[in-house]
Amino acid sequence: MPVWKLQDVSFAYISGRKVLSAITLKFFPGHIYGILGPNGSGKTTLLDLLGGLGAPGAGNILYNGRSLGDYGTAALARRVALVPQDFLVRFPFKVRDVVEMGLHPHLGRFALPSREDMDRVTGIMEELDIHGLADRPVTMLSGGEKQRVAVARALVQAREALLFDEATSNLDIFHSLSILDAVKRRAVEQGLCVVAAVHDINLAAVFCDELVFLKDGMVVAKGTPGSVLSPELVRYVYNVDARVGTDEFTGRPAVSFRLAGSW
Amino acid sequence: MSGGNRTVCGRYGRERSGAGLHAVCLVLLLAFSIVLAAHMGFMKIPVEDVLRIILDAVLNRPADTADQVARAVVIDVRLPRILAAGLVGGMLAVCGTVFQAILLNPLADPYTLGISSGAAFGASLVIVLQVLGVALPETFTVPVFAFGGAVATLFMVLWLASSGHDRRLSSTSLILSGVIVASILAAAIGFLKFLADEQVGIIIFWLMGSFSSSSWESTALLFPFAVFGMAVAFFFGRDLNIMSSGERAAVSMGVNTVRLRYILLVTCSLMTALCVAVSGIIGFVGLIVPHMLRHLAGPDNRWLILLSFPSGALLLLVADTVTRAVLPVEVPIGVLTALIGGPVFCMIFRKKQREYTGM
Repeated sequence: MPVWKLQDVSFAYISGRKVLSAITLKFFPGHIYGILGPNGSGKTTLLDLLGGLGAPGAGNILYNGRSLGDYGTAALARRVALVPQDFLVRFPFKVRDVVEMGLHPHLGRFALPSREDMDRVTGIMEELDIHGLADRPVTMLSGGEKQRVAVARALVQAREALLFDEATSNLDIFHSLSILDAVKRRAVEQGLCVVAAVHDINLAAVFCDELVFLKDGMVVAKGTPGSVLSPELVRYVYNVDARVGTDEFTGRPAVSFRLAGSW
Repeated sequence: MSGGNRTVCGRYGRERSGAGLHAVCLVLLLAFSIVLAAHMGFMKIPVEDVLRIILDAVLNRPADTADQVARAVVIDVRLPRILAAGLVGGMLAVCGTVFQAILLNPLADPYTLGISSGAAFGASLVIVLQVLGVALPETFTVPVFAFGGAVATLFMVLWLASSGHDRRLSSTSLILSGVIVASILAAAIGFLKFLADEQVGIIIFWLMGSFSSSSWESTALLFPFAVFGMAVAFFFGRDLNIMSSGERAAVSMGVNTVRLRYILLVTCSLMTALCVAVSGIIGFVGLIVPHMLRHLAGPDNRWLILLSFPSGALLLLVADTVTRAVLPVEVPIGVLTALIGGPVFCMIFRKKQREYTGM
């Protein structure tokens, strides 16, 4: 059974601007999905709908076979975690406290985290290389460090599914790869369903099992990286010339670009 | 790894007991200040007499006849004023903590949302009605009108803030709406002053804030709502922590942010309205207390809420005792807190600006 099943989902803002139209998609457990498309193509809105942060104007979304709207905010948060694009904590909480916030939906109102919860937090912080920052105020971190904290918090929270909104955009290559690796391991070992909005097509081709291309709020292509990536698609979606080959080093499809018509 | 683990737990243990120690110290200091404040004044009453009088009253024992005057001064004059100052200070500080957490803004307090102005308008209306010859029972109508004014202002502000695209009540639109409504209310209060004619002095003096007319009724009015407000704020303490990572992240972590905002804003409006009804407008307590506590005890709102009540109570009690017993003339308490709090506000504002540009 798919984790999410979207049937003819549309979304428009109150102003009338339509952001998504007639989206029909399924997301299965244990898979990593890359949502790609130019700025303003509806990637973030799609993630918001999946995370219950907004309701579709038309169509329906099922989560584990039940209408997404039937889940309360807390019930959904126990299953799905979101890594937002710009994770900003306004008060100087310590890094460890912020990561522990991911336990919030799983804990009773006045309960303190158990020993296992604490170990889980520590383990994830070590995995993402932020354990050394545990006592630092989160307001004093660099952009990349903050993003790793955001991912750690989401990994603590997520039990069934994870939504990534450009979560590796501020990171260096080592930390991008180690985050994606940590996510991949959870997909394979624990059946976590991951839906990630990404800008880097090559990174998506390496890590995602399936790619979904959006343009003007519509799905224009979906499938495995090997089957879906083509110069025609990249030209249609991004309006750039592209060459698609297979990278000898990673063995995955790789795309190189140039501006259409330029030298 | 296990070593790292232990240091993490150790740090947690230290931090929690540290905040707990702050709480114990604050409560002791507060008790000490209450006794000291009851001792100070035009008529000096020895500390041991103060203690005995309070103990007699608490145990409901008949007092020595020799003590009657001192007893009357302590029980009927000073204690009601001391308790009112403490309760108002504590409630304003808790409101400030909650507003700052909800609006993600260390400069927020009941005034930023215009809620105190709304309460002041409601209460001024009662005074003007009296001047115009409509006799209303004051102890009852002033708080009710203040609450009416505060809630009407709150909903006006919320309505303004949620009218655009932004159905989720962002902090910028809330504060801006608060400023707009407060400036309209300032003009409306000016009009009430004009209507009050020769009695304008009453409104002006009351708007400047004072505990000189506090009675046991004030304490009876404030106390249940102080307990209620603290309980509600503490109940949502962890949700408030999560709010600090922003609307979208908080919802994705399972916090019903819209419901949280409505519950806490209405609760804090109620507390603010009662404070204004009892003592007029007293600014900056709600701003300074959470700010200082965050340096002492960290940003965890559960501790901040627990600690802000005794801290605010202590601050306002000391300030009121200074105006009552130390200064040669009784300066309105609102003027004193504004004179001390204003510069602190400027400092926080400068620091905040620097932090933003520095990033």
